[in-house]
Amino acid sequence: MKKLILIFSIIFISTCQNIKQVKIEEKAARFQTPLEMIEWIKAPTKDYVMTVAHRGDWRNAPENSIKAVSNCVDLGVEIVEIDVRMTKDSALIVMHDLTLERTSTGKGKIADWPLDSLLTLKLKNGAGMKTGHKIPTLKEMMIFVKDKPILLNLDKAWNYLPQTYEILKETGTVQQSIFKGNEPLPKMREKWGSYMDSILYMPMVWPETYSIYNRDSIITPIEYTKGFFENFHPLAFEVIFDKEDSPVLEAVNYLNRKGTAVWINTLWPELCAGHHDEVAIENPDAHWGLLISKGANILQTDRPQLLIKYLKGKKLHQ
Amino acid sequence: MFAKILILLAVCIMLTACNINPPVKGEEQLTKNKPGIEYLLEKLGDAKNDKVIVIAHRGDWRNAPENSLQAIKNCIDMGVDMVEIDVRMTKDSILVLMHDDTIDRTTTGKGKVSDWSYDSLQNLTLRNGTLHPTEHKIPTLKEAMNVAKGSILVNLDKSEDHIKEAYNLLKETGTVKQAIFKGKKSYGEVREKYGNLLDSIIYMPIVKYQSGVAMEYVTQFITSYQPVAFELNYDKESSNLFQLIFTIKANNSRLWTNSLWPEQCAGRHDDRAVINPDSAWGVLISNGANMLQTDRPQLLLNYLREKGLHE
Repeated sequence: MKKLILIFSIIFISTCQNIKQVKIEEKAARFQTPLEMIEWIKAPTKDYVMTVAHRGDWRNAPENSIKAVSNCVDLGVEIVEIDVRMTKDSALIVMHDLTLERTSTGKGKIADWPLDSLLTLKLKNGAGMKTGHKIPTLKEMMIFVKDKPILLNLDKAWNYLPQTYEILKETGTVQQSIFKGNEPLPKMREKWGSYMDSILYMPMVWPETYSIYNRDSIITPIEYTKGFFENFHPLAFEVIFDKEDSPVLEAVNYLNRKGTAVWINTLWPELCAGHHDEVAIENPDAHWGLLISKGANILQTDRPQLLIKYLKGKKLHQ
Repeated sequence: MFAKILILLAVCIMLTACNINPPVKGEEQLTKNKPGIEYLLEKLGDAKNDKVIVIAHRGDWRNAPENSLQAIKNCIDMGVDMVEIDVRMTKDSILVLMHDDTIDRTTTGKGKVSDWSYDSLQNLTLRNGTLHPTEHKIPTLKEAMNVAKGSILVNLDKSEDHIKEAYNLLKETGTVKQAIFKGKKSYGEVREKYGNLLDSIIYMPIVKYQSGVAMEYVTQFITSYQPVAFELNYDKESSNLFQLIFTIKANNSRLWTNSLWPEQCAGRHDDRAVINPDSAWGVLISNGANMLQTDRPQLLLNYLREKGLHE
C-alpha cells in the first residue's frame, strides 16, 4: 500500500514539474537582441510571425510616447512604429500629426515651435485628457530603445533622412531602425545617395491606383517591387492592398518566393482587403490567420496584446 | 490507510490543478458567475461592505470608442460595477451618449450635438483613441440602458438638463433602479428641480471643489435625503474638503473619489497607480474612498481582487 502512495506521489509531482518547465520555456523570448530580430527579417521563417505596434501601445499610454514603446517591450512586440517630425529649430521629435492639438496640450504646427517650448507641453491620452508624459525627442527615444529587444520603424523620417541618420549614428541605433518610403529606388538614390546603403530600408508597395505609378512611369506594383532588387538590399516590403484580387498580391507572391519579408498592415480595412484588427478580434483565423497564409511575415496592428495572444496559440510567437 | 491515500491523492490533484490553471491576469481575466444587479445594488447601499465599487469613466475607452455600446459591454465582461456615461440631446430631442458638446473629437462629423438630428448622426461613426474612424455608431441612451440592463450600474453624467426625458427612458427600459444621477446643486435646488422624482431615483451629490459652505451642503443632504454616496474630490490631503470624509462616513454613505487626474485625489491618480498602486489607489481607500472612478478599470480590478476588495 505504501508503495502505491509513493508511486502516485511521484507521478503527480513529476507531472507538476513537467508543466512548470513547459511554462518557463514558453516565457523565453525567441529574440534576445535587436540584431537577432534584423537577422530573422532578412531571412524570415514560416514558424514565426513578427508584430508591429502602430504608434506604440497607444491604448495604455499616449501614442508615440516613451511609455508606449516601453509597454511594447514588456508585451513581447518586436517592432514599434513611430512618427518623426521636425521643429522650427530643426530638432527631431516623435509625433504623428503636423499639428499639436490632438495629442498634446499645445496648439498649432510643430514646425512653428522651437524644441524647448515643445518640451514644456504634456501629451494627451486616447480620450483627449492631459497626462504627465512629455513629447519625446527622437534622440531620447533612441537612447531608450538602445540594445533592448525592440526595433523601431521610423515613419515620415524620409523627410529628414540625413538628420535622422545622424541621431541614429550618435546613439548607436542604426541597426535598430527601419526606414521606409513611397518612391522607386532610382528616385531614392537620387535624393539620398549613399545614405541608402547605410540604412535598413523597407519600400512600401501601394495599390495600383496610387499616384506613384503614373507619376514615375512605373506601370505596376510588381515592377516597382522588382526595381528594388537592382544593386540594392531592401530589408522587407510593406504591402498595402485594398481588395482580395489586388495586383499587389502578385508582388507578395514574388517576395515570398524570393524569401523577402512581407509586412502587412491590419490597422484599417482598406490596407488589407478588409481583414483588419476590428474583425480579426472577433474571428482571428478568418483575418489575421488568412493574411499569414497569404504570405505575411510581419503584421502591423492596433491590437498588439490580442495579436500576440493569437500567435502564441498558433505556435507562431514562441 | 485508505483515508490517507485519499488525502494524498487530493493534495496531488490540487497541486497539479494549480499548475494547469494558473491565475490569469490582464484582459484575459473573466469573472465567472457575475454577481448581477441585485448584488450590485445591495453592495452600493451598504456603506459598511468593505468591497470597493469600481466605476469606469466613459466605459472601457482604451479598447473601444468612449461612450460606445462596446465600451459598456467590455466593462460588463471585466466585472466593473458601474459605467459612467455622458448624456446629450439631439436637435430632435433624442438622448444619445457623447462627452463633448461637439461631435468633432469622437465622431466623423463636426458641430454641436444639439444641431444634429438623430437620423443624420446615425450616418456617422465613432473614432478610436488615435482618431481613426471605427465601425461603431453613436448609441442612444435607450440602447445603452438595454445593454446595461441587469448587468451593470450606470452613472448618467450631464443628464441634469434632461432629467424627465432620461427618467422616462429608464422606466421604459426597466432600468430606473440601476441608474445613478448626480449633480453639484444644493439639496434645496435639487428638490425644486427634481420634485418627487428625487424619491424614485438614486441621486448622488457632488461636493464642490471650492466651497466655503461644503459642510452645510453635506449635512443638508444627510438630514433630508440620506444619499447612498457623496462624490468628494480634493486636490490636497490638507484641504478642508478632506475633513468632510468623516462626516460622510459617519452617515453611512459611500465615498466616491475620482482617481482620473492628480488634482481630484491629491495626486493619487490612475497613472501613478500604474507604477505604484499602493501609493495611489491604496492610500485613497485607506483615506475612506470605497467608490473609485477610474480610467484603468482592468488594473484597478486586478489590484482590488488581489487585496480581497473585489469579487
